[in-house]
Amino acid sequence: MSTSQRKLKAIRARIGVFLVVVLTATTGCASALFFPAKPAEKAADTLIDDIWPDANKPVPPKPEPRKS
Amino acid sequence: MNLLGMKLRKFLAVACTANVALMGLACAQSEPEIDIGTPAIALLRSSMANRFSQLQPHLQAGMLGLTHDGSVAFRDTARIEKNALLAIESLIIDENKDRATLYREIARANRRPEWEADLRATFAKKWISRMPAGWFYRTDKGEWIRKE
Repeated sequence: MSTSQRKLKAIRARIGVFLVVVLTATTGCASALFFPAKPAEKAADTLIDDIWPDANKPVPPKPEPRKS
Repeated sequence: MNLLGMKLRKFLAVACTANVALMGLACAQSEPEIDIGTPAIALLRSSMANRFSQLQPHLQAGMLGLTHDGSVAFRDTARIEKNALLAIESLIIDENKDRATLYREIARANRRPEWEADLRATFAKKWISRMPAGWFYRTDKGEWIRKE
């Protein structure tokens, strides 16, 4: 292998490493910025279960207040 | 282009593609959990759960309804006595204050204050999907719909 070929190989390897680092960083940043919809729905379900424990149980009807 | 250079280029292309694929897979699998375990959220949860028994009969009677933006609102005040109206209005104000604080608090607990609007939208959909049939909800166009 000639000197110029070795240099070319080294440059390509550096470009490869650079690309891998950039891709890793950008993917990581993007995942941190996006709103996690599924976990948010799960959290909402958990809280609503606690806040409305018997929302689907019928409430006995109250006598309607009369207007004075 | 010599043979070695082509091989290197192919190797890099394959490595980059594999890296992107693996990262995508990792991100899809490791969606962060939403933290709802802070003392402030527990307090709001308890306050809203206590208030629910007072709100429920009015929601069931259709006097109140849920809104598209995750709040509670008057729907039909015609059948409510004036004294009761003030008490119910106070309930609505307290409930909406707690709900707004809840959305903000969850965003803050997860160190993502910018998520507040998304959390509100997520909760709004959930409140409506989880409410019993017969209750009313208001769309973004102001139209009241009775859940079937």
